[in-house]
Amino acid sequence: MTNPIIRIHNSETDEVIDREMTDAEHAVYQAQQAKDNIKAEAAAQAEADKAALLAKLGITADEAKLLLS
Amino acid sequence: VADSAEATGLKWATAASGGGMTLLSTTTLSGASLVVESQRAAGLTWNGGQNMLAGNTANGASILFYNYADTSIAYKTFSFQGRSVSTASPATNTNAGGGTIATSSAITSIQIGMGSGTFTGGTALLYGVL
Repeated sequence: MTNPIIRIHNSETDEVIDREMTDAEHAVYQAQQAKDNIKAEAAAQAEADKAALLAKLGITADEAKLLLS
Repeated sequence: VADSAEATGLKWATAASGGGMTLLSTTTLSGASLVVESQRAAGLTWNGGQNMLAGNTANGASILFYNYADTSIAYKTFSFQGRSVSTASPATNTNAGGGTIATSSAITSIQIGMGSGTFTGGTALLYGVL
């Protein structure tokens, strides 16, 4: 399996290189992706939980804001 | 007025040149990750139709490093802001923030990458102080 492509642009020489990530670069890239995905999933779950609670209470988001103000 | 006469009762010198941010390079986004290298890598802004979530059309973000070339400073402060648009919910996301990187080395490269997939379009603009 090939690693993802990384583009490297040297602004001093204006040279652009497209190459496969090294295994080390790929490992760092995947670790960052895993972190990002955990954050995104947590945010999506929080949104879903909020929507479910509003539905359970039978009020809108604006009405919830009024209650908390 | 570049340099006024004292006859007016006021005198000021010509403003110092330089110091402003200059566009150093423009890169078409491609692949899964982009690295832009320069000895003057002070700030990067990127925008376009990156496939950041699903069906995005108008994403943009930027990051700026302060004192990016000063090796006497042990921490490099940065600020960033960005916005993404998606067909998924929520339809828009806006993020802004900042922080520090614990390094006295000059910032000579900036890397951006995708959460998943690859860039499907857009450009990255590198800025620095000449």
